[in-house]
Amino acid sequence: MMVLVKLPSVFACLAKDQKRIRLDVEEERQLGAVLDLLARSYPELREVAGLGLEEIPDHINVYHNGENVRYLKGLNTMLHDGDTVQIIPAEAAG
Amino acid sequence: MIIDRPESHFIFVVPRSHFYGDYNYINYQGRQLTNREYLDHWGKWIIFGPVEELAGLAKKIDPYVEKKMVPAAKYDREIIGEFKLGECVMCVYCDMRQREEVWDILCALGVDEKMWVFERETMERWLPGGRLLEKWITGQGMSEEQGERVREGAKERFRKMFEDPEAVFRGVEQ
Repeated sequence: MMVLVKLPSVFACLAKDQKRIRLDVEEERQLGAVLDLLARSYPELREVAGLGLEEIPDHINVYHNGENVRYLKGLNTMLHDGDTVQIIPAEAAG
Repeated sequence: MIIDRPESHFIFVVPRSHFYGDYNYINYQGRQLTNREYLDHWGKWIIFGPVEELAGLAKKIDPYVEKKMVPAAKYDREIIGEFKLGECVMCVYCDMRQREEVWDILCALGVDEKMWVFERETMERWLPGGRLLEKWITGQGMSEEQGERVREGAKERFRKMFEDPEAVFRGVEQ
């Protein structure tokens, strides 16, 4: 399945300046597994955005199809083909 | 109407009747929200972009704001250096119970980044210990004493603002 990850400039510069990254994953996965995959591909993003942790760090917001995953099932939120994931610094919501 | 006052960091889009009259855009289906309802339901769609793009979008949103189909919006006049976002941000405000209708309008105007933030999330971050307030204090190069005064002021302002959960919400000074 295909998942689209969207990043603002501040994170895109840590992912080869890509604001949109298409991730091809073999089957329906939980958000945590997809963020792990992203973190493995872009180590700088892992460090700054705190991806690959057991919880979503307070300084970022992660959205699944527009909804903050803190109000869904967090890293256990199930992703489906065609879904969009957005990762933004929490400051952006000020 | 677009309110562009150079002394404010934000440029606002609000209904003319809100600015000049007694209409309050913080409402749901015409009924003003209480403090409790504000914290439970009020929020915003956020949109990133260069200021020129956000200014163009603000002009497109303005007619919908006048028709009260979109309650209000605001965007950064310039990038906020302290937060290191590298982009400006627009907030398009509404009650979460009408957010999909507002989203449909934004979508029709070309917005494709869908991110909803409750206002209570933002407020928590501007309280003492909250990420935004602490980063702002650091970014301003304040002494420990100055920082403490700012924290106390923020705490007191929020306490006063929400001390009666059933009172009509009166807004946040910006």
